[in-house]
Amino acid sequence: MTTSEKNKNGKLNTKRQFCTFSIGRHYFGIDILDIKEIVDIIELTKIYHAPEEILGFINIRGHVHLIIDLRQLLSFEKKEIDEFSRILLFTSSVGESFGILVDTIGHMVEVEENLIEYRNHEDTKTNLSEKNFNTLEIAACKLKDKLLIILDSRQILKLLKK
Amino acid sequence: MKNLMNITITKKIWLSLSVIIAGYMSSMLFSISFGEKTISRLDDISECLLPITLSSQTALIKYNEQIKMYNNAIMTGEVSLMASANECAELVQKSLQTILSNQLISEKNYRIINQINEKYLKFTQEAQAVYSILCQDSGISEEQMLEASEKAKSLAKDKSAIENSIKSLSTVLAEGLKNEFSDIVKCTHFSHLISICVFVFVVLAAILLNHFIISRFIKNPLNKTISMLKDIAQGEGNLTARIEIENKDEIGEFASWFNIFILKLQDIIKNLTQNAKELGQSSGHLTGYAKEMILNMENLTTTSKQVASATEQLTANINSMAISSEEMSMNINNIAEASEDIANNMNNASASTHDMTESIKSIGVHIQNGQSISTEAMTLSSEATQNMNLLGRAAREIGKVTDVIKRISVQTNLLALNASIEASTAGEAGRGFAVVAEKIKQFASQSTQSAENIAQKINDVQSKTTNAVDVIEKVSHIIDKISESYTSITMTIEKQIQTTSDLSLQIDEINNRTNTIASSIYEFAIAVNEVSKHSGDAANKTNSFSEIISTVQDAAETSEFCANNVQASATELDEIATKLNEIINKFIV
Repeated sequence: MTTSEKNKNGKLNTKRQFCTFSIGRHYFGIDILDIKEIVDIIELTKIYHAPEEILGFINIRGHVHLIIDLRQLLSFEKKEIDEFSRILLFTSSVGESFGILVDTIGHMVEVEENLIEYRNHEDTKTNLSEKNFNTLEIAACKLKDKLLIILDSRQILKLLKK
Repeated sequence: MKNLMNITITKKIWLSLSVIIAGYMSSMLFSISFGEKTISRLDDISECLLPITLSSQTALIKYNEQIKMYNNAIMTGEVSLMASANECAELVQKSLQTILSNQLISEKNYRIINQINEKYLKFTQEAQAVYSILCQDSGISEEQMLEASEKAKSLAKDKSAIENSIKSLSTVLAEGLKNEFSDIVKCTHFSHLISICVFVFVVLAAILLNHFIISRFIKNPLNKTISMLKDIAQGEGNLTARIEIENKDEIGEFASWFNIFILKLQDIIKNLTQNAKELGQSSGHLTGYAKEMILNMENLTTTSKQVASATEQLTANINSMAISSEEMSMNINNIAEASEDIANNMNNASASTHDMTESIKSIGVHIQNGQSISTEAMTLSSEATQNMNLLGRAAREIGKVTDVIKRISVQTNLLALNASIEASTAGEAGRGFAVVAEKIKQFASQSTQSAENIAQKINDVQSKTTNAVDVIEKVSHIIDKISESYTSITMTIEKQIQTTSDLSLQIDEINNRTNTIASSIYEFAIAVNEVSKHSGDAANKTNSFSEIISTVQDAAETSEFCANNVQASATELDEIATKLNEIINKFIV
């Protein structure tokens, strides 16, 4: 929920809320409006002959959702699903019935718009994995003690199509 | 020449004789050969020349007869005389043939004789014819008679020619015979001369050869040997001279054996020299030894004096030994007393060991009590361990409950998160709900915290329980050890009891032994008395020993005297040896 307030300068001081999670040692965040639900019970139905990033289907209250391994998309190593792994389900505005598997879930974080630093699109890297990172990661934000990397959920499906 | 030299003397003599004989034989052979020649010649004469001459004479005679017959026949006119004339003619022919057939006639003579023969044949035939006609008075014609008389005249010439020729032939042959004989005579003279010359030559040669042989092969070696012997016999005794052996006959053998004999003599003289030297050396040694012997004798004298003094000392020592043995017997009495005291002490010791045994037994009893107590303690500690385990189990169960609480809080947290998402999705309308979600999150975090606290406390309790269990286990270990040590103590106590009983036994033994010691000491005292007695005897013996030493001393002095004599003899021997050496050195070896 973005609250609009007027700051001292008279500019719009919008606060944005991010749902934070960590993969590996990295702390990521996705805009909360993109997220529909967080699920912790993970009962994956495996899809055979599918790419490795696609972990399988999950049944939530009768609805079937496709689960993608974000670790693989970001070219981290594969990790076993443990008790802290959670599934983030996205809204239909991002993509139809899919979610991502993350290592741990953090709190909801509210940051001001002006603290968010957006990426320059001229940066290009030759490494393929970095490209993935680049397309997903759109901004970074400094928190009290951590660096929050903001991802764009809409890019996930596009990455899959490659 | 060498071979000649080496044959024996007899053979040499035989050789010279054979030379003489050979010379004689050669001269004889020479004369015989000449004789042979004369004989052959005479043979020739007898076989050929003589018959030839005779036959020529016969031919002449018969021819003359024949002519006479013819003449007679003419004169008488008898035919029978013709027949005898024919016979004579035949004889003449025969003798002429004999002459021809002989081989020893020269060519010239042969031709002449042939001519004569032919002429004669012709003449004879004609003569036959003519004279036969002339003989027959009747029946022959005047012409024939005239012819025949003319032929007879011509025949007369022929007849005289033939007669002359036959005469000349016979004279020639006779002369030839005479020449032959004179030749033979000359040859015989010549041969006599030659044989005399040969004889003279042979005799000279034989003499020279014999002289050569005898002087060279017999006389000279013999003379040489004689000169060598003279040299050796009369000379300075040079035994190194040797006779040269030139030939291997008897003289050579004699020379070789003589050489061997001289060699042996030389060796003997050498040995003699060697021995004389050795004799000189040993006599020198002998002198040395005699001197040594004298010195040793002096040493012996001094040593015997020393021994005499030593024996005196020995006597003194033995006396002191007797004194000390008396002292020893006194000390032994003291020892006997002391051993009695030891016996008393031993009795006391055995009594105290008995007491010790008693006390150890009581210790054993107490130990057993202690062991039973420790077993009780073991059982109690195991009970305590069991209780602790139960406690631990209860704590774990509590822990499980805490896990459930934690799970609930996590779920609540999740729920709160979802709620906040829904709230933000709802936008403005969801603000009240967002507050509710916030509260829920707080509750969730609180419950998480308290769950954690509980968990922590539970963990503490659990750890403390495990500590307590550990402690109890250690205690039980210690109790185990204590009981073990109790058992070992019990065993030791038993051993000690054993030992003390052994000890008391041994003390009894010691008691016995001390008694034996006492008895042996008593015996020892007796022995010491005997020792003192015997040392007195020994003192006596040493006195006699010193007397013996003095006799030895006297003997040493006499030996010294003898040694001096020996030395004198040795020096004499030395002189003799040098004289011998001088004599032997005269020989040159």
